[in-house]
Amino acid sequence: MKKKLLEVFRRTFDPEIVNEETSRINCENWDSLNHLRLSVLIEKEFEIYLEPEEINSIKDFSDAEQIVAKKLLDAAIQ
Amino acid sequence: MKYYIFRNSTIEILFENLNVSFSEYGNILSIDLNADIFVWFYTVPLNMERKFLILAIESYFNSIQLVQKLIPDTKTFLIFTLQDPFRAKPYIADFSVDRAMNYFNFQIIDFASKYNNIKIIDFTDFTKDYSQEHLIDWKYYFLSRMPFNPRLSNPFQEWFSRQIEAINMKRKKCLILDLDNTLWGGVLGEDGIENVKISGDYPGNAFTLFQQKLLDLSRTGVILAICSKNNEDDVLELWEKNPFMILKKDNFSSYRINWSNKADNICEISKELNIGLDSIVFIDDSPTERELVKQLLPMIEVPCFPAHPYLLPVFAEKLQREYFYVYKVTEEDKTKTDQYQNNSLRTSFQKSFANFTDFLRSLEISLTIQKGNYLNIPRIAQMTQKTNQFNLTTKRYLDVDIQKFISRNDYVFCMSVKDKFGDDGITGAIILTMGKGNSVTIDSLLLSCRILGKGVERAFVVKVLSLIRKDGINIVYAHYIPTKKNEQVKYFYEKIGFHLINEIDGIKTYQFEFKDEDLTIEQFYNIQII
Repeated sequence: MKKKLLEVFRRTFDPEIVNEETSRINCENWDSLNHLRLSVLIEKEFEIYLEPEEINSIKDFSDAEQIVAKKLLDAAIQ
Repeated sequence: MKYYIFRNSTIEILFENLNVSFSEYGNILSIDLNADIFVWFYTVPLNMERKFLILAIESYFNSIQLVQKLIPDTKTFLIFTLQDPFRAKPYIADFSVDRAMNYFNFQIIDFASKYNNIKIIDFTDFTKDYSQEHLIDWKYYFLSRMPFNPRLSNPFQEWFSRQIEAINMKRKKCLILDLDNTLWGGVLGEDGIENVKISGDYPGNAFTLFQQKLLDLSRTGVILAICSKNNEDDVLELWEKNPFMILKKDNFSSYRINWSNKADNICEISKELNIGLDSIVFIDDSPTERELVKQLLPMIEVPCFPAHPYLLPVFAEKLQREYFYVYKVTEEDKTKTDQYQNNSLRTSFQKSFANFTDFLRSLEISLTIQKGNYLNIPRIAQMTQKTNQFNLTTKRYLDVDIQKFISRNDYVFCMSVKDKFGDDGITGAIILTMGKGNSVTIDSLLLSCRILGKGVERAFVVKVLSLIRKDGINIVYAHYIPTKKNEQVKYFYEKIGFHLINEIDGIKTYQFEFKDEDLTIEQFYNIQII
């Protein structure tokens, strides 16, 4: 899952600098439009639906990782 | 290609694959004049009270008129029709927003008809395939002011690039069709001319509609031809006697109805019509025949044929979209079938003359040479896109490029040709750019293949040379740039009296100095200059 998410981050931002530490603060091209692209791509790749609050709460790679993990778990239980 | 898009909402995601910059929301005052293509893409705002909404919509056309003045007429300006993705109405009979929107769309269509560089993009053509819940994702609307679902990005990009291709006139020229179970149901040889399934009940009515669609397609300039394994006499009799056939003999510019292999037949049709194999689409219900053609002639497009006749309308639409999409139909397109048929008449007429000059004289050929102008620019641009064989430099241009030559005072001429068998319309063009001193260079010279064989190519060039000589031009340079398809004009300039200066990597450069004997034209060409 982590590997796939990293790939999603690479496709959205500058692939050279993306790693598990990437955040809104240290990633220059993490602007509002790329934030939108990131959410759309996460939804598509993991086949999940993110609530607006969740989308807004993603500030760095580990936020995204936690949200995706939780969503996948919820889906598995159902 | 660099795009500049005037917009009033977040639409970046729809244009991700392009080199594009955007105006601020609703701002028409900033513009990037380095862009090659300008786009107006506004949608009805989703967040306004209706009376303000109407005022907003009413202001758009004024804005477009202002923007148009900023955009050079040598650059394309695409205007999207206005759409209301949500279309919420307080009560059924409230058409106020629809009326404002429809009026805007009417205004831009009218506006575009006055300027060659303005093209309308019919946005309903994209949205019609989606229900409202697919079109809008309210979550993303509130998060980032996107009126359209970001998941539509890929289909939108595909659709938009097809629109651009249509505007740039990349289309196939000829559709070759099988007969049995393709144009009608059943097998002519077994069922007989009265009993093939056409018209009446299903499946006959589905084939009728398919033929109607193909007829519409031919009226946009697509050439139809037949390649079928049948007895030619049976088919001729069917065309004559079965009243339900919509497509008859006259709708086809060529046919090969025999028992030889279809790949050979297609090659013959391509030679007869002077159309390259890569401009042909082949339709056949038999997978075996399709496979054979695909294997032997890989440059031909061979789409799958639908398994059921009731799928034919969708198939016809797909054919039009994928291979024959076009922005606008010119006068020449509308009568193309006739022109190609007239050619076969001329060929048989030629056989009765022993002397070629007598034959030419008897044709009563008239040429009309016109300067490039508002009316003929679209046709000249179209010819530069489509002409491959009689084309000395094969440079491809759009309307706006031709306009650019004219604005710079370069010479742009086109020629229409007619004879006793028919009018071929505008079928030749030449562009000469001004050089140092009193010299010009022939940037482009091209003629449609269907008018060749009558000596008009020389008459055209010589007449144009004598016209520009009156302006004091005394040296003309010209080039031949070889391509895979223009071998036949390799020695054209030599033949009409140009002198070869050099030849580098196959590119030949010529010079022409005016001498009276080189400018005589046979008397039997009736030439008019407008």
